[in-house]
Amino acid sequence: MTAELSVEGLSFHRDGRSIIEDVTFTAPPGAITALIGPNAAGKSTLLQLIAHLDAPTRGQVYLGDKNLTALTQRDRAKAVAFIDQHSATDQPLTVQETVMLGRTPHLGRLTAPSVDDRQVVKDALERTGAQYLSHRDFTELSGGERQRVLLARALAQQPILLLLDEPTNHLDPRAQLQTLALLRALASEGLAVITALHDINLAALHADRVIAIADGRIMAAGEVAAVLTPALISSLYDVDVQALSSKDGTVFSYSLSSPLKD
Amino acid sequence: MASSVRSDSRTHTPPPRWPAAARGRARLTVGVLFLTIALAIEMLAAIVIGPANISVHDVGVSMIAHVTNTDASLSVTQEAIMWELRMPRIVTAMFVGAGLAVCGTVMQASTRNPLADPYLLGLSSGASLGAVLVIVVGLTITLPVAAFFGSILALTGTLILASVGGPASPSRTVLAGVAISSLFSAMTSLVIFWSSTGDTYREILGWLLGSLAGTTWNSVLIAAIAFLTIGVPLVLSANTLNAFAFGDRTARSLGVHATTARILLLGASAVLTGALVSVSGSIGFIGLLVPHATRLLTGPDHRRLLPVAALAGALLLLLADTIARVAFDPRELPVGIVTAILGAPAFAILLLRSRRAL
Repeated sequence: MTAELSVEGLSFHRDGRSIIEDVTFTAPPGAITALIGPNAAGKSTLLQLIAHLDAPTRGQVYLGDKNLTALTQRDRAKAVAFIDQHSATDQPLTVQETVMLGRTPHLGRLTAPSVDDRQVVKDALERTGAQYLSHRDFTELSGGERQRVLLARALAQQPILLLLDEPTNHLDPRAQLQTLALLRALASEGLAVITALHDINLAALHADRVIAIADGRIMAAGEVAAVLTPALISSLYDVDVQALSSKDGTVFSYSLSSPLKD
Repeated sequence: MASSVRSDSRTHTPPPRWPAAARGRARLTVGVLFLTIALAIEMLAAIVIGPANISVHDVGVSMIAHVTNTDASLSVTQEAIMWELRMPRIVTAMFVGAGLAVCGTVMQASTRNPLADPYLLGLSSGASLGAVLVIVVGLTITLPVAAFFGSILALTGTLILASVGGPASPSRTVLAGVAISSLFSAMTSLVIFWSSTGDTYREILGWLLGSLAGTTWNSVLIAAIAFLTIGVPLVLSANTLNAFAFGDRTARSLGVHATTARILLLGASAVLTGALVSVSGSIGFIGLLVPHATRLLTGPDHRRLLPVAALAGALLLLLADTIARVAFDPRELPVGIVTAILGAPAFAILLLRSRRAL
């Protein structure tokens, strides 16, 4: 099952301060939509509002014709998976147990996982290439391996929308590329993927669409080639930007015009 | 699927000859079997051991006589000691031990705090204040009722304090518990300081350290009803507790109302603890130690952890109570002293053995 995400007039105020203001956009299934913007622009908050981990002050979120804001937490978790930026546990969970957590919204409160649930977990581990980690301890994995397992946990929810908050943070270049390759594979299976990214060049090379936000508002949104221009990046991050062509596509180098200015 | 992702061999470790899952299951089966047999032996030992002479044979004869409703060959005194003193005490110890272990497990999981125990939310000091008011001031309600309401009062105070000005996060809840606990302890000390006389000191101390002396079938009834109506549903809430492993935000994204679920789970544990404390006094260490020790056997999955912790808690408290009865015969130790003496070194061994038990 696939569906388009459409966010309509989403606003979020906390303590009288506006964090997200009147955000409207759509994200199609089968594509990777990158959410970019400077620190504190509201990327994480926006993702959490879409997943309804915080209740928006105003606005609606639709997935296909389903109003996500009106669903129960449990039903929402069957449609939307969210991978937090700081996803850590102090429990010595095995990888398999970690991925089984993704079945939580599908399990009855009192029932044990069924054969079907175990099969979904197995499939999720296979789809993320993490089955060889099944019996390892989650807390002992490398950053890249953890990200793969968290993706498998998200897949075990059998979502149609996948939200990720900075999934490439603290990963080495190889693991970053593997994570994005995996997102690409999942998108091509029909998932709508929205991921916050710090690295403009990862967004430029691996996303289909880009939404640029600053101060909680959308600055630009659309196809990567149309949106990611030196002018936009320059105004978004307050840096000097140069576009360079590489064999993979256009990338950007940036520098400070006045290093000592704040 | 991108092949570069699937066929990454750099980090590939060869699968162990025995799959970890199979080894885990075998260890769990042996462990549970051991605990069950140990509990059965300990129950029998607890009936037989003591100043009055009752043999294993007598126990069998009397059991059969009770089941078949015939006359046993035991003396009236033996019958009374077995059925009115030792049996209710054994059954109470098991329900209290199991309940405290379940509460400790629930509290540790839902606050993500390895130091959490059943008395986390000021329950012990609340119950103590209620009990001391009865013993010293002579309130006209019975001690268990006063202890129960004392603990519920403390719980209410803690949850209100934790919820004022923000959601009841794990750290806010724990800190509120510490504050309320200090307040109630201070009030208890004040009451003791102002009005206690020599005779009541030992009674107060006995209660504060926990004791199963003087338990009757009424105590069994209270502990059993509390365990069956609250403890069993808590054991069945494993899926929700598991969802807390990666924090509140992940729990919510998995479909669990983290804050509401935590308040409900903590509230239920507190009511159960209050009911148990009302019959046994505040017995420390079981609720802290048993979940950690059991996790070594079952792993962190609450579907296995909770029932095995209940079994281990029942065994540990029954063992501790038997020692408390006979170690300094004819004087009885408060059982809380025994659980602490057994528990502290056990906890130290856990710390040394498992770098991640906590």
